[in-house]
Amino acid sequence: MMEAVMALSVQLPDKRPSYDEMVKRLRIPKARQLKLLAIMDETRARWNAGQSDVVDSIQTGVDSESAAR
Amino acid sequence: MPPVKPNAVFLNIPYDIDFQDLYLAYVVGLYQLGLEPLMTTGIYGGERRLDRILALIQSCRYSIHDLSRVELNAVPPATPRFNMPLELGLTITWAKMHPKRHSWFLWESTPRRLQKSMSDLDGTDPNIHFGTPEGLLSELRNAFVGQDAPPLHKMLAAYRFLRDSVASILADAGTDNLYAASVFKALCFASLKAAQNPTYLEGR
Repeated sequence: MMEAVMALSVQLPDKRPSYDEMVKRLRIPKARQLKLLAIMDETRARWNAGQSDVVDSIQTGVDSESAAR
Repeated sequence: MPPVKPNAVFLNIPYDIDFQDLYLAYVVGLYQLGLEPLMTTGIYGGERRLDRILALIQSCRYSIHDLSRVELNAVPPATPRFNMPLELGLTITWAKMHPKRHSWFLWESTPRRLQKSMSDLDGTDPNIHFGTPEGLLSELRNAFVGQDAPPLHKMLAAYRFLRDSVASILADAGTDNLYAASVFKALCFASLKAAQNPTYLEGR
């Protein structure tokens, strides 16, 4: 039997990378970042207009080609 | 040996349509806790694929292996899913060799299912998310304990915000595949921004 080494809970270190560092690591071109921010602004506007939580789960999508993992 | 990213979490999950809500909850929840999810999406086939997957695991301080949907794939010929257990096996070996570099978590939706599917791991309890985003976010807070963890209702609001942005993010990427590498990056970016700027969730 495999010795139990799996974690159930860990204490995170206080010092972690900043948000800006994490954004940089994603290496998303500036123009795409601005587009994504515009999408988030649109969602916020819909929420402010009381149009949030229309659905309980994601209503679109397809299996990935490698779905059978 | 690649350097370890101290807040990186290797996410070993199924890439199927029924898992989309939980996939999004993992991405949003990990960023809410100041962690960074990394996945094999974007690593293409070829003889070096396994090497690159192993390098990805080695670069992460933590990993989550969600076996809640390990089952027979319905597309003929019906076959069990082995990539996820394979990546779990790689991780267990790596963590056994370098316990200070890597901690791994096993997640399930149902108590006691793991004892049936992988009895070699008897004696350890997986994290149970009960197949819901709320259960998953709650369990993430329990698994990764930090001083600055946001309350569960804030994490859930961030998840709902991203969920309501998904259709536009997919349209912008020109795909229906939420697991595509470009979409994963977009979800990471938006999750980060929602964590960085709580005004997106004001009043929620």
